[in-house]
Amino acid sequence: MKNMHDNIVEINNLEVEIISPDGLLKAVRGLSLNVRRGETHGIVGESGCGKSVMVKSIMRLHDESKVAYSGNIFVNNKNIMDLKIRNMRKLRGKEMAMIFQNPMTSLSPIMTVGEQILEVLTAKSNISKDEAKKRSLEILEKVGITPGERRYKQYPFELSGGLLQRVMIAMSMVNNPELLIADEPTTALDVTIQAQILDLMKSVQKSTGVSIIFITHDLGVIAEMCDRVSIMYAGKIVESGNILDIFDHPAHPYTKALFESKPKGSDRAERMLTIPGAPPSLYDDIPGCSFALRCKYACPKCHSTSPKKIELDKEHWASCHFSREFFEKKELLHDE
Amino acid sequence: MSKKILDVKHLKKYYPVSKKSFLHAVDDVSFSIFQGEIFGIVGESGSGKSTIGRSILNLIAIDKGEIYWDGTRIDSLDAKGMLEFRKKMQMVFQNPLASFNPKQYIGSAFSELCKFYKISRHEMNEKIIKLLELINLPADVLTRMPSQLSGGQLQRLSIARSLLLEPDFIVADEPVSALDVSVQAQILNLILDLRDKMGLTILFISHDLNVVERICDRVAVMYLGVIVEMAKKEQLFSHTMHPYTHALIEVNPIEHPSLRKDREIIAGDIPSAVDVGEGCRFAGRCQYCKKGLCDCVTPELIEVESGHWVACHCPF
Repeated sequence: MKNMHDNIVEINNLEVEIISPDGLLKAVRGLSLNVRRGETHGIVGESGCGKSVMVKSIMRLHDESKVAYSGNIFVNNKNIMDLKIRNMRKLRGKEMAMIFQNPMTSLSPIMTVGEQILEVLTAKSNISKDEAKKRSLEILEKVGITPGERRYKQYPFELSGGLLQRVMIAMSMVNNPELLIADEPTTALDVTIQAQILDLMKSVQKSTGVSIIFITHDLGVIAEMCDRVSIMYAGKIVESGNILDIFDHPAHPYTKALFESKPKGSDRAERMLTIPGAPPSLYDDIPGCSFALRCKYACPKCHSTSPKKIELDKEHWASCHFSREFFEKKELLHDE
Repeated sequence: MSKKILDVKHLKKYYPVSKKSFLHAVDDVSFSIFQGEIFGIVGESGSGKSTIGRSILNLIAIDKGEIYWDGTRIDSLDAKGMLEFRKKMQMVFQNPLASFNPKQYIGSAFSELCKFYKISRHEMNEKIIKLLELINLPADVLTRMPSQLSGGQLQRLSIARSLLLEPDFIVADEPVSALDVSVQAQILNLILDLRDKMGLTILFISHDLNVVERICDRVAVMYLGVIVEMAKKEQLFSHTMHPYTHALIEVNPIEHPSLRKDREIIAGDIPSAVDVGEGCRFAGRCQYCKKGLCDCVTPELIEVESGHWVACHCPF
């Protein structure tokens, strides 16, 4: 049982199906994930792999009249799938908070940023308005929005994207949550501003000890930020492990391919390795391994049998029939 | 070195924001592109890089300056005069879904262009088959709607369409920014192939240093409407001279977690380009800024070493 207490988030066999105008979207397909207390856990995946659906499920932010969940999500040892929405609302903000890709659309355009932080504070705890305002100003300065007094009275349109993302971080951290979910928080920002925001998130984590789930498609950002990483493909985690294990000994062909297709170096005579084709549609059933169609190592078994999780090392696992061989860097014998 | 094919001289483009103030999108930019090279422009949002791309193709009217294509001045041409040059110069945009008419089959997006330029049906079919082969897509994509194809497929088609008239020069404006990494590599390889196999000259606009380093020959770094540094790629990355270029390289995401270190992160936001006064545009964020010099006197872009241009009063 000790394990349970080390993990702030534990997802077991989660499936999320969404009714959409185009049919039933099976966005998450039997996903398991552990996030340890105090760590930054990166989730990498391409667009449409279900990563945002997965984290929104942790917050239960989907329109539940159109979504069917199965499986369990434990946050702080509470199975949030069992909670009533009313109780869920109490957890949001206090135990877990989320920041999104586009801060402009995450904030109300008709309220000053200060009021929005104040609102979050007073909604979640019993403090006087004066006290709340003092705290709001404090946190604004803490996330580097200075001078706090002036910024407090400004509307979102008066601030730049980088400053707005700082406001989002301030808002999410104002009630000291234990878990922060960041869904592509720097994708919409310029590189110099991205570096500032990443730096801020690191220092916030240092001072509060918050656990962070960091979603991104950028392996460079993962390398910069995360302690552990999970690679997501077609609604599942296909590989998970410590950051160095994943970068140095990737054991899933998709992880390997992601690293190989990253533009690096400057030798142009050599072409970059690419992943042929496109990810499968999540409306369809996928027999066997979901990556088999694009995988250069795929064999008949891959197309028919879904691979199991293979433990490779302490806390490093991958679900590919040949993970062990990749991990040990053995040559695969079959050549198809 | 091969010959100069495109010459941009003192290009200026101001957008009015009110009666008296102007946004200096591009402010006195000069550069040349040589035949067969991939010339990169890198910069953050609002640096004017897209404005330059569009100005070259005469998609927007410039305020001042001259643009020469192979010795002919093209910025002053009207739409009719531009027709001949459009065959030689084409553009690929960032968002492939927005570059195709959502209610038009891919095939007719191609044939429309051929009709306009009076290319016979027979010749057109031959060309399209060749192009599809080049971009590695099956012929049945021609009977699809844009919404039925993926971003990567559409971007390849968008490149193919730009090649239909057999241009000599392509402006690629952030062609891979909207794509996932695995697809990005396909497009970048395609662009390199075009250069090597068809001898195209390419202006490649991007905000991603890794991509630029991977595929360009020469690179210009832009900040707030001006070029701050321009050099051969190798020079630019191994012997960086401008503090802004240095800052960009410093904040570029690392390749491996073992390279983590305390970085010098450039502070502040990109300032507004409205009514920029005298002085270096980067002075406000520059840690090496010399008061009384950098904030009052605009540095000129000068050739410090052979082929290495810098606009800074105190370069590294």
